[in-house]
Amino acid sequence: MAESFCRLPPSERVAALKSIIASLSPVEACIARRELLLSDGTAEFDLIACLPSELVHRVFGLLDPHSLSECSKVSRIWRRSACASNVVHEVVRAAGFSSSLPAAVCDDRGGNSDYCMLRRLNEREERWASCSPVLSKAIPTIGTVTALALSNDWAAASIGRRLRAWKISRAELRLAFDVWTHAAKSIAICPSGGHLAYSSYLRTATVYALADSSELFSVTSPVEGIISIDLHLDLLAVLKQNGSIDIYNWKQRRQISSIHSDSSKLCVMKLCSQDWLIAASKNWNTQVFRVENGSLAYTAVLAGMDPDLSEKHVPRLKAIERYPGFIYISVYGEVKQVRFAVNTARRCIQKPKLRMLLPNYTILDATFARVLFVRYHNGDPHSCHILHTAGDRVLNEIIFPRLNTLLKSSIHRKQAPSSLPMTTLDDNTALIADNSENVLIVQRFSH
Amino acid sequence: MVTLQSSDKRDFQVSMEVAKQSVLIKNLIDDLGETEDAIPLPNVTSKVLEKVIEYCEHHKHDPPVIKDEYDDLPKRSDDISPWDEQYMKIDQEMLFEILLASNYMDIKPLLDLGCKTVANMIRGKSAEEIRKMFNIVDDFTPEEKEQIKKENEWAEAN
Repeated sequence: MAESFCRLPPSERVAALKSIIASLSPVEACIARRELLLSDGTAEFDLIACLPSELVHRVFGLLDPHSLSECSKVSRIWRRSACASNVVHEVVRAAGFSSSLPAAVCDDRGGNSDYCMLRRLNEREERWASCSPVLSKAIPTIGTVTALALSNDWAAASIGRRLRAWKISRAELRLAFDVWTHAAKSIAICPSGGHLAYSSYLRTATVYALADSSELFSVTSPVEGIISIDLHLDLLAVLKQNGSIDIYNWKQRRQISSIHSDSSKLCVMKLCSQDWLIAASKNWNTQVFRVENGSLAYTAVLAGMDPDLSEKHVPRLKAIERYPGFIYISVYGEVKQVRFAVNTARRCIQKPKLRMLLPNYTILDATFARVLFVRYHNGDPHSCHILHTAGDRVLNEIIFPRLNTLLKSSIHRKQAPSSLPMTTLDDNTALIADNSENVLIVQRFSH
Repeated sequence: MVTLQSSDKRDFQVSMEVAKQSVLIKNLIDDLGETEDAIPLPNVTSKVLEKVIEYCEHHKHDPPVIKDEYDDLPKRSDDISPWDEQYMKIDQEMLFEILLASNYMDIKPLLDLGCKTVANMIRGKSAEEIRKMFNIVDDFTPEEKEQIKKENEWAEAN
């Protein structure tokens, strides 16, 4: 057959080729593409370009948003596949927090426009924006809430001398944990939901089982006060007033490591997985540590420092790890949010995106993709908003319904912004404590 | 026993439970009844079919996969068993052939394994590293590059 093809005049060869190509089955077409690509004698070839689109969809659907974004920068063919709306949708859906998707995956050259993806994103966001949460509960607190914690399934609060936790399910909130403690300074819930830790003004950190309220581990700092604690599976991290962090394996009841920062005093920290800890100092420089072979090894410093920031904008931290190998970190203060994406596999630190919000904003809370803030008008707090962002872009801004009502009532009572309700926010749920009304509110906006 | 015939006319004798892991073959046998004749697989070469059979032999006692809807794609790719990981230590060409063969023969666990393997190759790598790995030429125009750079400013490496 090849010989007879060679004997054909050039014009007929083209026609013959065209008819052969037209008769190829999808699998044969893939093999033909690969053979052509392999013709330069190299062992590696563009696997993605040769695969049928439904298989590329399967492969790309397994990636995290950041890796998908890298794929969109490889070549035109890869970009087209990575930007296909079904792939983007799959990754977005799996990621669970749609608006953190890098902007690169929504490109109009892929045949699927920004509009298409944004529409899909907005469908999700509308549940937040519609002001109709799928779950909304107000709990009378009879006492001052001193600390809050929120995980996917649990909300916890220290109210006076009671430490309570509620199990959040689709349509209800159930009080499942209730113990007497000293007033808590900091509470943490293990993301897997089984344990809760708290630290008190008495320099003690304690781990409890949520299932039966039993005390599992307790440690006291002999000299220094405890600023905050955090919990992840077996690990308990304790940040002390001298800026050092002690890490305990509470199951084995032993201290495994201690961090002292030479350059600047650490003032906030977060355990973001079994082997990663992030901490920030007052100048907003954020440090990432990794537990290796049972001890904590220094990894990197993310420069979030800004000379314009005064001491009063003390950073707060939120780390969101959605995929093995990636940590998304949000560091925020009153007027600014800095976001990092840390690729743990390559130990490469992504350049932070600084978002200096307008001076007439006060940030109450922030995740990687959402910022909860109070907007001021003529110097007075005016309304509570949630800003949804994707990469550098603002997707939408909504007035946060319940918090806005609370804000209005505090303005009415001429209370200072510092007495604003305490809040904590994750991708789907907000937990708000309003001490002026002695009420704790849980609102979930999507399942 | 069932006989499978590769595109290069080599016959492979396999047990029914091995053959029926391929939904394509299972449907064929269910429709036509058991046959002495070799079942031709014109899209699969003997080299690839041998490798596919190796997988099916090892997994013949696995519980059957529940047929899923279109959008029920594998969600994670860090759950590959050690045997599967060892099995997938193959060159890119064979990986490509297995992906196509498992898709054609409708062997979902093998297809998922192949996709997970490719996803794991890509994950955590920069665009440049991906290009090197798959020998890809950067074909963006300077304007397109500028556009991509602009879109990705927030996540550009230092």
